[in-house]
Formats: sequence, structure tokens, C-alpha cells
Amino acid sequence: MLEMLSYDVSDLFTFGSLGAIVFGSLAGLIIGTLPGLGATIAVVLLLPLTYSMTPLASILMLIAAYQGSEYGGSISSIILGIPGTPAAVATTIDGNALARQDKAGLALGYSLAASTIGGIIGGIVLIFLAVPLARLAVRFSDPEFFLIGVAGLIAVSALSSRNGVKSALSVFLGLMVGTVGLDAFTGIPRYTFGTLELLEGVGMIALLTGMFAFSELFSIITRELGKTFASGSKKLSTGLSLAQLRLILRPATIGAGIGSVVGIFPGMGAGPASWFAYIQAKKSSRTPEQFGKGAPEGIAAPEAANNATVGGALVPLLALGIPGSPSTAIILGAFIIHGIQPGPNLFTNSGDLAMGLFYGFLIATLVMYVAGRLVTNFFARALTISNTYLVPVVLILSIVGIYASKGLHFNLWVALGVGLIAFLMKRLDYSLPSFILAFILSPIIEESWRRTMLLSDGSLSIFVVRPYSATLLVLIVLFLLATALGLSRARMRNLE
Amino acid sequence: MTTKLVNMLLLLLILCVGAGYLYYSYLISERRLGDDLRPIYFPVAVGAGIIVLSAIELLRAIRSRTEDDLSPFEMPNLGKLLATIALMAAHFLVWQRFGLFYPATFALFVGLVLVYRATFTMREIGIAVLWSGVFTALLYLVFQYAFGIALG
Repeated sequence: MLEMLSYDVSDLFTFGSLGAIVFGSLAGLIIGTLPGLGATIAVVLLLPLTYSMTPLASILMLIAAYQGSEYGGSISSIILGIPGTPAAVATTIDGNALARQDKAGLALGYSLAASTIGGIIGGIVLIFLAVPLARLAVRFSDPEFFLIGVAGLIAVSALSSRNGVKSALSVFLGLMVGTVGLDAFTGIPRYTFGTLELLEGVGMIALLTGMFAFSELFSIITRELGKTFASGSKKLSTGLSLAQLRLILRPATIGAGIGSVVGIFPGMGAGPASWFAYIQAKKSSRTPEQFGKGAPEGIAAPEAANNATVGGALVPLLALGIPGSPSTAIILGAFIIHGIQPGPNLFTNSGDLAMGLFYGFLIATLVMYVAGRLVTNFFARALTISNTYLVPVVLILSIVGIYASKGLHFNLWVALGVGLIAFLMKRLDYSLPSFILAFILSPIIEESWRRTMLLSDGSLSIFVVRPYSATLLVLIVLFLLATALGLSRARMRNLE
Repeated sequence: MTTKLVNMLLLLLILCVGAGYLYYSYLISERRLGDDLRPIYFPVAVGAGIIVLSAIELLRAIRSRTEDDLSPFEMPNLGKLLATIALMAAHFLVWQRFGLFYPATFALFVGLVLVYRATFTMREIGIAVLWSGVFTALLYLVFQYAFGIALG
């Protein structure tokens, strides 16, 4: 914590850093507002701008966009009853109910204040967990990194799809695509079919953009192309009185606590977090009968939770170098673009950057609040943009992002192919987050496995005799048992 | 075509990809047999996993009689989706062959808006051209001018 005090915060108050945060927040807000587009697309679309920025400014811009889009998602939920992001679905229930009582501004005020509380608590969790976790991770070696990778895959495949087999299949497909390129140990090209562009592997930005932006746009084309959403609200004031703020403080804190913890686990993300928070807020409310009729707690808890997941999701990225969500995977891409590897050594090799990100995260949350107060009214009107124009704009910005990442036209074709396959996979209930996390973890798992086997001369006992790996192994077994138990209980309930 | 059939076709495709992946791994192992750090251990495990899981899911899909599975696999606006893909491919080709990013992007924007609107009056075309011009100019100002990213 002493490093926190010695950090020169003036780096954050430069035009570049502050401007990046403000721009990221505004972009995240508007992209999150538009139904169908969420945090991942917001971060993908801003990525090409990071090439000519400093590492601190570029990563803060992406984090600010991630935060802003989580709040932005609530704008369409509340005003139209259509969630802007999957994480804002729970907000729709009470947010839209309150808006229909001609109190859309008040509902947005609750959402904004709760999102800010969630963001700050998520930021505090990030600060207090990332450094100790990184210190612990410095002692980890290949067996532990292999097990952490496997644990991440098990968690994401168990939690991110209704169909367990398809989710596991998505994991294996992601692992397969992750093996394309030069083998890190022997230098042998694998699965490149003589294509030079594949020697470094499948481009991460092309894969992410194809998988999340193109596939989503294809879904919009087939589902709601002609739709123009109408915002009925005229003037929206998002200010809250002290009494109104006090009303949501408790549910927002509960939601933020849930969101911070859920965010840390790979594959869960803001959607489940906001539902857990909503259910918990209802259980602990003195007036649960008001839920569904515009209860402020029903807006505050899920909104605080989905913003708190942002801080939580950054914990494994910064401390272990392992992203827990598609958005943090893109932020990992921004680190790599600038030649920085997040993980246990980030705090020693680039300590200033890490501290800047911690403080910057809190500033980004406050900027989101100010931006939300100033522009929510204006952005609510953005909902009236027709998809006829929205789709070409997002499509072309995505294309620019893919090309700018490596300057290769080849990657455009990769993204197009991936987008089509992902569109079909999504329709058939495969898990795209599982696929992408497996793709990113594939080299980590393979390389740490091979080094482990070299260290142990091929003996699996290495996982049991090392205290850290043995602990991780026990945790994995416990998680598998808990998941199996949960599944069998659900099956019993279904049979009954 | 039912959802079940599409599901089964995709699973068959995945099964074939898994088999091809395993076969290619075998070819790699042929070349470097006996290497301590063999580059195919992991891919073989992954390939086997893909084959086993897709076979399990395929069997489940064949036996499935749920309402969802037996419902038709609907794809509204399929023509517009295919037109979007064709326009994207044309844009990539023009950009790749001739390096004309901005003119190609201008044309792509106009083309997409007209395909989605599906009305070709002079007014509609004029509006599409106007918005496309504004958007392309903004792209140029932001990427080429402000950020110095050469797109073509």
C-alpha cells in the first residue's frame, strides 16, 4: 500500500490521461445506451485509437468505456424497457416500471448513483485484492499457472451457457484455435497451412471483433433491422436528494459487494451479478412487495453490481495476466500493443502504470457520474437512431479496428469468417465467452503444462507435492463437486 | 429446415474439424518424432476432446424431440444478411487490391443503407450519400489526420 501513497498522481491529470478518460466514458455511455451494443463492442471500437496514445491513457480510456457502457445499458432499459446490455436486464423490471410512472429521470438518477457506488467499491476491491494476489502469484510456477488456467476454463464452461456440453465444446474449440501458429518451444509451424499471416497465431483483435461485434451486427440485421426506438421522455433530470440517496445506499452496497466478487470469476460477468444482486436486494428489503412496481432498491442493486464487476474483472487480469471476460481480454490486447504483459510482474516492472490504473479507475468512475449527470438527457435521444444507420457505422468502425491492430487485410477475412460462425454458434446456444477465454488461455495452459512435465520428468505427482498447486487442485475439485451437486439438485427439481 | 437439423449439421462439421485437426497433428508428429518437447501432446488432447464432445452432443441432438429443436430454423432478413456479407467482401477486396479505403468505405456505407432501407428513391439515395460523406470525412479526420493511422 505504500506504493499507492508514493505515486505521483499528476500523471493522471495531464490532458492526455484525463481526456482519454472523459472520451472513454462518453463513448462507453453512448454505445452502452444503444440496444444490442454492450461493453465489449465499446471497448473493441475504441481499441484502434490506443495505438498512438500512452499506455496509461489508452488503458484508462478502455476501462472508462467499460464502466460507462455498464451504466449506459440502463438508459434504454429504463426509458424503453429494452436492456442496452445483458447486464441491464434486471434493471428493466423496476427501472421501466418507475419510468412508466413518469419518473424516468428519477429512475436514471438511482441507476447513475448506484453505478457510481458500484464502480467505486469495485475499484477499492481491485486495489486491495490485485496487489496481494500478484504478490502471491510471484511465488507461482508452471504447475500453478497450468491449474489456474484449467480452473478458469472449468468456471467459464460451467457458468456461461445453458447447455454444458456445448459450453465445454466451445472451450475445446477455443483451445484448438489458440494452438495455431509457431510452437513456442520448437518453432514448428502448427495448423498454419503455409499462411505467413498465421505464424503469430490467429489475430486476437480480429477474433474478438468478429466474434462479438460482427456476430452481434448480423443478429441485429436478422432480428430488428427496421427498428427505430422511440424515447417518450422529454426532460430527464438525474439529480437525487439526500433522502433518495440514503434510500439506495444499502442495496447499492450489497449489489456492489456481490458484483465485485462475481466479477473476479471468469465467465460470470455482469449479467449474473446483476440478477444475484436483484434477488438479494429483494430478500433483504423491508418492502419486497414493491419490487416490480418501480422499487428504487430494484434499480440500485443490479446497477451497482454490474458496475462493480468491472473492478472485479480487472483483478485476475492485472494480478495474474488472465482476463475473466471478453472486455478484459480486449484490454489485455491494449497492454500487449504497448509491449506490456500484465501479471504478477506488472507491479514491479511497471509499478507506475499499475498505480496509475488504480487511481485512474476511481477517477473514471467519478467522470462517469459527472458525464451521466450532464449527458444522459442527450444520450437518451440517441435511442432514436435507426439501426439502418447504426449497423453501417459500427460495422465500419469495427473494420477499421481490425485493420489498425496489425495492418493486415488477411485479418479482415478472418473476422468475417469468425463473425459468421459465431453468429450461428450463438443461435445454437454455444458459449462465445467460453470460446474466447479458452483461446486466450490456450498458450498459457499448453506452455505451463509442457514445462511442468519437463520439471517433473513426466510425473503428475508434482501437482500434489507443491503446496500452492495442491491447494489449487483441492479448490478445483471442490468447485467441480459443488457444480455437480447443483446440477443433480436442479435435475431432481425438474423431475419433481 | 429445423433447428435440430442445423444443429446436427454444425456438430458434424465440428466433428470433421476435430478429426482434421487430429490428422494434421499426426502429420506434425511424423516430422519430429522423439522430441522431448513434443508440440502435439496438447493438440491431440484437444482434438480428442472435440471429437468426444461433439459425438456426445450429436447423439443427444439425434434423440432430442423438444419443441425448440423441432421448430423451423428461422432467419428473417436472410437476403439482407447475405447482401451485407457480399458488400463487406467487396469492400475488403477493393481495399486490399487497390488500397482505396475511403472511396470503398463511402460506397459500403451507401450500399448498406440502401440495402437496409430497400427503397431506392432519389431522396433516400441522397440522404444515404450525405450521411456516408459525413461519416467517411469524420473517419478521415479522426484516423488519418488526428491519430496518423494510415488506412489507405
